[in-house]
Amino acid sequence: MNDNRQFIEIYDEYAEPIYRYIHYKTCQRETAEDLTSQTFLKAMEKWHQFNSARGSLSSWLYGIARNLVTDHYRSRGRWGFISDISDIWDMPASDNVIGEIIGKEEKQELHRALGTLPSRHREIVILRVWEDLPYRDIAAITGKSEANCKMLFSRALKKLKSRLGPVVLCELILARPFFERREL
Amino acid sequence: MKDRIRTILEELYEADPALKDQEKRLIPLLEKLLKGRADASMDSRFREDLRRELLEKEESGTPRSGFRPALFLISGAAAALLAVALTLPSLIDRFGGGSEETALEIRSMAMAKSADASLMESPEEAPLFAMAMESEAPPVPQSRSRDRSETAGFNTEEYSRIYEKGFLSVMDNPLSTFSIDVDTASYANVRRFLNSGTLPPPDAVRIEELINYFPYHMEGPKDNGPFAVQTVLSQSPWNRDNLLLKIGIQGRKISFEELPPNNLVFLLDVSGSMDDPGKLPLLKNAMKMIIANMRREDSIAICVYAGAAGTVIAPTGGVNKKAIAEALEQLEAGGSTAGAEGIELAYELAQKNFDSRGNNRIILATDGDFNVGPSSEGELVRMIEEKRMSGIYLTVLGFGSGNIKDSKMEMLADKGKGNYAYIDTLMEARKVLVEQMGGTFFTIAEDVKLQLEFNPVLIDSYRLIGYENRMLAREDFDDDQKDAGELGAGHSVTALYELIPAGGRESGTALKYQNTTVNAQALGSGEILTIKMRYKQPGAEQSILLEQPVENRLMDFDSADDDFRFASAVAMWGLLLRDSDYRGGASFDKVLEIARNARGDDPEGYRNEFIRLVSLSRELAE
Repeated sequence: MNDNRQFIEIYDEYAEPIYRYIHYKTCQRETAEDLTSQTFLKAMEKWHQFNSARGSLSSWLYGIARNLVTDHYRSRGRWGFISDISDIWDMPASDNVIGEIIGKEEKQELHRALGTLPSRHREIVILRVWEDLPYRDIAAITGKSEANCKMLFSRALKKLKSRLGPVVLCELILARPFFERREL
Repeated sequence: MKDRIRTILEELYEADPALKDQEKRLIPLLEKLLKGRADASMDSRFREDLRRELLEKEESGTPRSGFRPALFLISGAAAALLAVALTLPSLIDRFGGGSEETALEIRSMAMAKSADASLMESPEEAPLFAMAMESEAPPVPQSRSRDRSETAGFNTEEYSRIYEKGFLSVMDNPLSTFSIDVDTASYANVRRFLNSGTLPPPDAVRIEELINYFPYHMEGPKDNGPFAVQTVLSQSPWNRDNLLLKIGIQGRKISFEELPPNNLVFLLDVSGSMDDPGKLPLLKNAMKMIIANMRREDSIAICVYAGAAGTVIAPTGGVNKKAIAEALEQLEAGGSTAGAEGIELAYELAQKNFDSRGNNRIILATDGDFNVGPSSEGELVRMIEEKRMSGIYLTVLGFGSGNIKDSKMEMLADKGKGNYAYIDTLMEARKVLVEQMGGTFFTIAEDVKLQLEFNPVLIDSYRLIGYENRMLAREDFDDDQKDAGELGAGHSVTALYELIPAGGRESGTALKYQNTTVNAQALGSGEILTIKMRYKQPGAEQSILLEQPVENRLMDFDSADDDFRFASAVAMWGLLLRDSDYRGGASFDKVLEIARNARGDDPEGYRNEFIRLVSLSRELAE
């Protein structure tokens, strides 16, 4: 049983969060757009099967998106992933580049630290903090219990705590082939 | 933003209360996280195109399969590249000349980094995609995960904080002293967490208790002593540059018939919180097993506490099993808890029926909720210690979930010179109360302490795995007034040390006012260490000292015996569950691989169960 809304209303409500979720997971705008289209096309096709008694609409949509991302990487093989999020997640364009550098530094440092987390831990952090989803939904999307999602978040925070800070950034700059990648 | 951070933190404390200690550092981190949201907004043209496409499809009702939205150039990313290229020189300037403080931090960060090497090396996205893909739309959330989350309401459980010990230099700290620990509660508790669908909080994981849960195939003493000691030295499976030393202590096995008479007083918690299928009914079934195994010379008394304490059945001999079983059937849960009174009553009963040749013991079964208040808690401990001096021991059995006061229960058993076991299933009840009846109920050596002296020529530094709350000061070893753990009949205790070899050179810190030099015996010796042990005969005042050198005989890991490899797999699993800084290259896959090949003779299926739990924890952790 689905509710009586038109599917397009569902799209209007969830297009942005679903797109963001896929973008956070894939780190590529093109891929995110492609998979967002597929998510809503598939959801439309299966809309009559959605049963609100068995779970929320949002976790149903996230679930479809998540499986499509999984499928996408399966088809590309295990090694096809770009692991450095901070290089790929978009930074907003601005004329005042110098003025925004400090804020960007911090953001990039954070994104790099996030990038070092195992992807499932990162997913929980992002869904809880950036998307403000309750653990009930996060548990449904990730197929884990609420308590375990909290435990993984707790572990992720401890890791982030040890990996954030000026020293880490310095280390990262020295340790990674930073310049080469920028020149590509 | 403050409210959101508070909410996020409070939710996390429910799962991992120890996190609270770090709140001051977590708040700025969460602020950073909230502010640092990546800009991943949808391109408006793309959004409109897709909307139009969906509208058309909805109106026509016929799906179009070939839809692919237009692709756009990543203008934002290009700007980001420029921004970082400009940022870089200023960053290098800023961090180019590090202060002393920075240098220190770098070292600690480098250590943390190397400890997490496994994380970096693995194709970190790969596990994400191990999830089963369906060609159909994914199922809506399964009720299973809901059920699991509902059962995992453990926010009132309490665990003592475990502070992991790092590597200690042999030159600076030549002696490592600790008390044995025969408890196994942590393993059963970890199992309960995993079976309910969540990883355990790190402080619920006591690695020595995980290792000691398993029976090992060690030989008992050949002489008249109460135990035998065996050592194996091989590589550490989570860090091949390091060595792993296993010290195994096997207590004398005494057949059930030969055990002295048992004078057991069961003190059962029948408060309202015990009214749960995993608590009182399980406890009753466990008790039935004990009654069935009673001998004629044994006696059992049962008393309860809940609101008020009361005697259910006075000490009754094994000839009258039926009466005990009937009394047990009458028990029902209800009322609040008054644990202290109950304990007093139990000691009274044990004293009345005291058998100077026998095993006089209180067995406290509870979910840990004592309403004794802070002042009387100290009194309770004093009473337990006093009674223990007069020959009455205390064993604690933990039941149920949601309310476990793990730290308090371990402490009480420790003071009462008994052991602490956690009973999560009837199988566990059988293991603790029937199979290991001798070990659980009959003490063969008291205050067992170990002190290791390492040879600095061969060992640079060492780290004892687990036993964090069993460490002793070096002078405590020779002090017979200092308490330590008890060893039961047939019990075995295993301790693992991770060692960094010295490569035959002296090392350590150069001191200004004293010289630390290695003597000729160390240089010429083939011994890596000497184990010294102290224990007391039950009831004795003075300890007996034993010494055993360990030769530098290194075994290849793959040819080490099953017990060594299995124990190392369990330790590695513990490091992963604790998210330890010293886990090196540990991984769930490695644990599984080693454990699968080290099952050996496993008649009760404990090792097979371990493998199942490791697979489960891998699923939950990834």
